[in-house]
Amino acid sequence: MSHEHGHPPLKDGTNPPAQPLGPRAWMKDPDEPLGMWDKKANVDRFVNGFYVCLIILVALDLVVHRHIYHPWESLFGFHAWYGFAACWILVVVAKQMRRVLMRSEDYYEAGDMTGGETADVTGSGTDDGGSSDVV
Amino acid sequence: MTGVAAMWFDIPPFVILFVGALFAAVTRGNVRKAVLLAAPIIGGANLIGMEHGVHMQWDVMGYTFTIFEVDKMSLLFGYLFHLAALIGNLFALHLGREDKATIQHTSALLYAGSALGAVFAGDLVVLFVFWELLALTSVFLIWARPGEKSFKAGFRYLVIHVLSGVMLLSGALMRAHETGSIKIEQIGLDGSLAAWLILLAFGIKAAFPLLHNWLTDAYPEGTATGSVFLSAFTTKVAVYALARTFAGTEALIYVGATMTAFPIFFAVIENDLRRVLGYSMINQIGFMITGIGIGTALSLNGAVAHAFNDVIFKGLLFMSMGAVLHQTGRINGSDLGGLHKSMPFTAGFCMVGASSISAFPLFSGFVSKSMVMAATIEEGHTVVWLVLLFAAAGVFHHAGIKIPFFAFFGHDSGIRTTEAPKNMLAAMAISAVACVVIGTFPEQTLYRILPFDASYHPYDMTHVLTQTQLLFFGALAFVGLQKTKIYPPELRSVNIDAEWSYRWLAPRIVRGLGSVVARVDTAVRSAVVGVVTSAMGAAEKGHGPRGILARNWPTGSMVLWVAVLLAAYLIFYL
Repeated sequence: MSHEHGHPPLKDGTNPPAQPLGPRAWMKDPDEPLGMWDKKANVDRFVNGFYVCLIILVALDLVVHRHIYHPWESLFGFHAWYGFAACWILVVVAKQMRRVLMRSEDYYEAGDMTGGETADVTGSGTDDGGSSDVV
Repeated sequence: MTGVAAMWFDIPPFVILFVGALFAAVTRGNVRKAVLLAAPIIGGANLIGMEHGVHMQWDVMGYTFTIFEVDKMSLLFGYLFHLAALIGNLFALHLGREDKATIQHTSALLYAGSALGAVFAGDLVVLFVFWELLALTSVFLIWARPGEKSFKAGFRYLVIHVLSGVMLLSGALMRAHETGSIKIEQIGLDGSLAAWLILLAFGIKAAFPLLHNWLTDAYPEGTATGSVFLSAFTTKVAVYALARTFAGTEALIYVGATMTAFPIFFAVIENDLRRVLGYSMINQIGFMITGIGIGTALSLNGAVAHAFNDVIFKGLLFMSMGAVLHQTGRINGSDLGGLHKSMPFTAGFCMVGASSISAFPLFSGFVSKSMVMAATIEEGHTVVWLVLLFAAAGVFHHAGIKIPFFAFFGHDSGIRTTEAPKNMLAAMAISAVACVVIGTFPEQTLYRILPFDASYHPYDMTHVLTQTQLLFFGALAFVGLQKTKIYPPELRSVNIDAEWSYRWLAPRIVRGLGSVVARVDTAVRSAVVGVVTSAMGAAEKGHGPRGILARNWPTGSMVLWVAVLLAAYLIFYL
C-alpha cells in the first residue's frame, strides 16, 4: 500500500540485500507497468471503504443489544476502542523494546567465533540505508 | 503372557505411517509420491469407526505397557495429525535430490507417526518413547536445510527436547514408585516432585514462557517444507498431554495468559517472517493452555478445538511463507514486499490463514478461540479475559496484517517470481477450504468430534459484532501507525530473548570460569612447585629426594583442566 512508510527501498548495487535472491526469482523490469495497488487512488479508495466499515460497526453498537459479560463492556463501543488501544500500545511498546533487545543479525554467530564484543546494539550497522528512524 | 495382545485388525496408527516411511525411503519418483499421499489416507481411514478402549498392550517382565488406547480426545488428534501429514506431504511432494528429498520425506512420515504414537499412548512410558522419537525424527527437517546456522539450531532443538524427555521419564518413574501407576490420567499439581517434572517436561514442548525459545530458534531454520510439519505436531502433542493430565490446574491459566501476551511484542519487531509465525504460535498455544487451566468442559473443548484449528491455519501460514522462501530465497520482511503480483494465489491463501488466526467470523479461529474466552469470563477470571482480549487484538496485528502485508503488499521490493508449484498450491488450497468450512459450519464439522459435552454457539449477534469491532479497530491502529510513520520499520536484526541466557551468557560464564580456573591453576602450580622445590632442597639435606609428590599436583590439575575444557567445548558447541 503506502510505499513511503515501509522500510526504505533497496537500491541495487549500493545496498545489496542480506539474503541472496533464489534461482526462481529476479528483479523487476524497470518498464513494468504499475499494478492495481501501486496506484494511490486505488489504495485510498480501499482505505476509505475501510473507514465506512468502521463507522457502520460503531453505529451498530447503538442498534444491537449486546450481552454484557464484564461491566466495561457496557461502555459504548468498548471492543472498538479496546482493539484500537491494544494495537496502538502493542506497537509503541514493542518499538521501545528494540532499544533494549535489538542486536545485529549475526549477534549469536559472531559471539561463537571470536568471543569478543560484537554486538551492534543500535542495529544501525545493518546497512539499511535511510532507516535512521530505528527507535 | 509375554507378547502383544491385540485384536488382529487393530493396527496402531503409528505403524501405518512408519511403514509408509520405510516405503518412502526405498522408492523414487511417482511411486514415492503415491506412498506419501496414501500413507496418511490409509492411516486416517483406519481410525474411522474405531472403538474406544484399550486396543493393544505389551506385557514384558511383569509390567504391562499400553501401546494403543482410544477415546474421543485421542481420536480427534488422530484425525488431525493424519490430515496434517497429508497436507504437509502434498506440500513437500515436489522435493528433489537437491533438497535431500529422501531424508525429508522419510523423517516427515516418521515424525507424524511419532505424534500419533504419542496421542494413542496409554501410559507415560510409551508416551516417553514417542516423545523422544518426535525430537529425533523431526530434527532432520531442520538439518536438511544447508548451512551451519540450521545445523546448530537443530542441535539446540534436539538437546532441549531430549532433556524434556528425560524429565518426563524421571517423573513417570517417580510417579510409578509413589502411586504404582504410569497410566496417562489426571495428575494435577499435587506437590510431588514427579508431578512437577512431568509438568515441566510437557511445558518445554508446549513452549511455556522462558522455555519457549527452542521454537522460535528452530522453526525458522527448518526447510521451506519441513517447518510446516514442525508447526503441526510437537506443540500439539504437548497440548494434548497437558489436557489429559493437568486439566483444571489453576497455574496454567496464568501461564497461558502470559503466553498469549508476551510473544506478540516480539512478533511486532521480528524481521524473519517465519520467526514471527513462531512467536504467534506461542500466542495461540497460550489460549489452549489457558483453556486447559480453567478445566471446564467448555474450556477444554475450546483448547482442543483451537489446537485442531491452529494446526490447519498455522500450517497454512507456514506453507505460504515456505512458498515465498522456496520461490524467492528470502524470508525477511525487510527484503520482501509486493509479491502479490507474482504469487496471487499464495497471497490469497495466506490471507485466509491470516483471517483464521485472527478469528474473523466465518473463519476457523472464530469458533474455537471464543470458546476459551467465553469460559474465562464464565469462571470469573476477568483480568485474564482482558489479557486474552488484548492478545486477540494483537494477534490480528502481527499475524493477520503484518505477515501478508510485508510479504505480499507493502513496499514493492521489486522481486518478481512465479507462482509456487502446483502441489504447494493444492496443499494450501485444502487448508484454506478447511479453515472456511470449519469456521462457517462448526456444528456440522469440528464440534461433532469434540471430546466433552458442552453446548456452545459462536454465531450470536453480540459475539460477531464485538469481535469484528475489535479486529477492525485494531486494523485502524495499523493504518494510523503507518500513516503517522510511528510503525517500526522492518530491520535486519535479531532481538534477544530468554535464549540469550544459553546462547550468549552461559558460554561467556564458562569461558570466564575457564580463564579463572586457568589463572588459579597456574598460581597454585607455581606456588606448589615453589614450596616443593624449597621443601626438596630442605628435605634433600636430611631425607633424600621426594619430588614425586610435586609432579603429582600438576598431573591432577591437568585432569581437572581437561574436564573444564570439555565442558566449555560442550557449551560453545551448543
